[in-house]
Amino acid sequence: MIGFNNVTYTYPNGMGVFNVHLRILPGEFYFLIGPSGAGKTTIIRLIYMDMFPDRGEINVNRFSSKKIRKSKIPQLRREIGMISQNFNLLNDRNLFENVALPLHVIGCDKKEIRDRVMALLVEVGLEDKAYEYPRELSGGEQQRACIARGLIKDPAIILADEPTGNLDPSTALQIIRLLERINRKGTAVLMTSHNYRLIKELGHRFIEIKNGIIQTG
Amino acid sequence: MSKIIYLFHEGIRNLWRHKLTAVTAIGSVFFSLLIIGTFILVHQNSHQLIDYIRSKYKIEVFFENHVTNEDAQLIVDKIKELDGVQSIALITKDDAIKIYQEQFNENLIEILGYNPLPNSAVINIEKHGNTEVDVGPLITDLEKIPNIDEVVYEGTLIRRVEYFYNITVRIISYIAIGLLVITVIVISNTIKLSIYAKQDLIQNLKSIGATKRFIRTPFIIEGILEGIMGAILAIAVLFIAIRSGNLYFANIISFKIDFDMVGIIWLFAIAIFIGLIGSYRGIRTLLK
Repeated sequence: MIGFNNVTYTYPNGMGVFNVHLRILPGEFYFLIGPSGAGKTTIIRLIYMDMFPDRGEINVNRFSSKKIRKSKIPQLRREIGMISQNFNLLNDRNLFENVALPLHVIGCDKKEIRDRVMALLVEVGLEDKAYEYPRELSGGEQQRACIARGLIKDPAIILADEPTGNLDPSTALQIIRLLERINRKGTAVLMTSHNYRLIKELGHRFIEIKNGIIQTG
Repeated sequence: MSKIIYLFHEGIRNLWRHKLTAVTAIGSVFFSLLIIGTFILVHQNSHQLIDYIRSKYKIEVFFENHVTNEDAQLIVDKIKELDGVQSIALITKDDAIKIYQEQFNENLIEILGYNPLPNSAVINIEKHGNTEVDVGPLITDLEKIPNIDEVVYEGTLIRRVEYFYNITVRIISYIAIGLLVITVIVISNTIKLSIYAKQDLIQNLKSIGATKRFIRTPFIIEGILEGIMGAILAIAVLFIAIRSGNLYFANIISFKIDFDMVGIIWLFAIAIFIGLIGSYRGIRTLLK
C-alpha cells in the first residue's frame, strides 16, 4: 500500500529525509513520531507526491514515484484522505460545503453528496453543525470536520499530519479514538505526532524519525 | 454534468465570496472599457463627422446686380456642366431678401426703398470618399464666367479642420491600441492579486485531488463575469453620455453621435478577452 525503498529527499538547506525504508499495509495504524523538523511532514508530502525523492522509489497503491505522470497525481490524491494540524477548512464555506468539496472534485451528483456528507457528519458527531462556518466551531470540532472531509471519498489511506497539534489532551485523545474507529473499518492510517506521551499508551506501532533518519520501526 | 454545474456555480459564488476583489476587478474593467469605448465611439463617428464637415464644402456665387432671374438661370445651367459640380441651387433676389428678413428680422426694401441683394447660387461640390477636395480649378472656371461678381469659398478653413481632424483620429487610434495593451496587463494583475488571496482554496483543492482544470475553471468563469459586468457598466455610462450629448448638441449642430451594435459587441469581446486572459494568467502562476 505505502512503500518507501531507500528514499532520500534533501532540501536546499541540507535537511530532509535520508535512506528511508518504510512499509505500511492495508488496514494498519502507524504513528510517525519525532521532534519538530525531524522529517515527518516531508514523509507525508512524499507520500501524496507533493514532491519527489532525489533517490529511491515510493509506491502508493498502484502509483510509483518513478513512473507517475503529473496528470495522474490528482488520481493518487483521491485515494488518500489528508488531515492536517491547521485543519485547512475554507472559512468562506460552511461545514457541509467543506466536507462535500472532495465529492464535487470526483463529480458526484447532488443527492449522493447530501446523503454521504450527512451520514459522515453523524459519524463524527457534527450533524447539528452542518451549516455553521469554521470560525463558529471549536478546535476539536474543526479537526473532526477535517477528518470527515478526509474520509468522505472512502480513501484507502488516511494521512494525518499532527492532527492533535493544536488541541488540548482530552480533545486530542477523542480525535485519535475517532481515527482508530476509522482504522477498524479497514482504512490504513499514518499519523504524525511529536507528542510521544500522548501515543505511547495506545498500543499502536510507531516509527521514530530523527534528523531525517528512521530510528525504529 | 453535475461537475460542470458545480464549477459554473462556484464561479458565480466566488464573485460574492470575494466581493472586494471582485469590485476592484470590475472597477478596473469598467474604467478601461469606458476609455476604449470612447475611442470606439470616436472611430465609429469619425466618418459621419467628416461627411458633416464636407457638407459644408459649398461655393457661393454672386451675380452682378443687373443680372435678371432669367439670365441667372442661364448662368446656373452653364455652371452645372462644369467639372466638380454636384448640384447648384439658384437664390433669386426675392429669395435673398426673404432669407435676410428671416435671419436679421429687418425689411431691407422698407428701409432702403429697393432690393440691394443680387441673384446668387450655391454650389455643392462633388466628393470622392475620404480624399480631400481640390476646388482651385473650379473656382478659376467660375471666375471666368461673365456677369459673375464674386465667388465666395470658405474651404481653406474647412480643409484645415479636416486635416487636423484626421491627424487627431490617427493619434487617438495609436493611444487606444497602447491603452488596450496596458489595460490587459493591469486587469490581469488585478485578477492575479485576487487569486493570490485565494491560495488556501487552491492548496486545499490540490491536496484533495482536484485536477488543474477543476481548480482553474471557476476562476476563469469569475474573471469572464467580472469582465462582462465591467462592460455592462461601461456601456450603460456611454449610452447615458451619448444621449445627453445628443440632446445638448441637437440645438447647436445637426450632428448625432451613434453607438451601434458592432461597438457594443466589440466592447463585450474585449471584456471577455480581458477577463479570460487575466484570470488564466493569474491562475497559471499559482498552479505551476
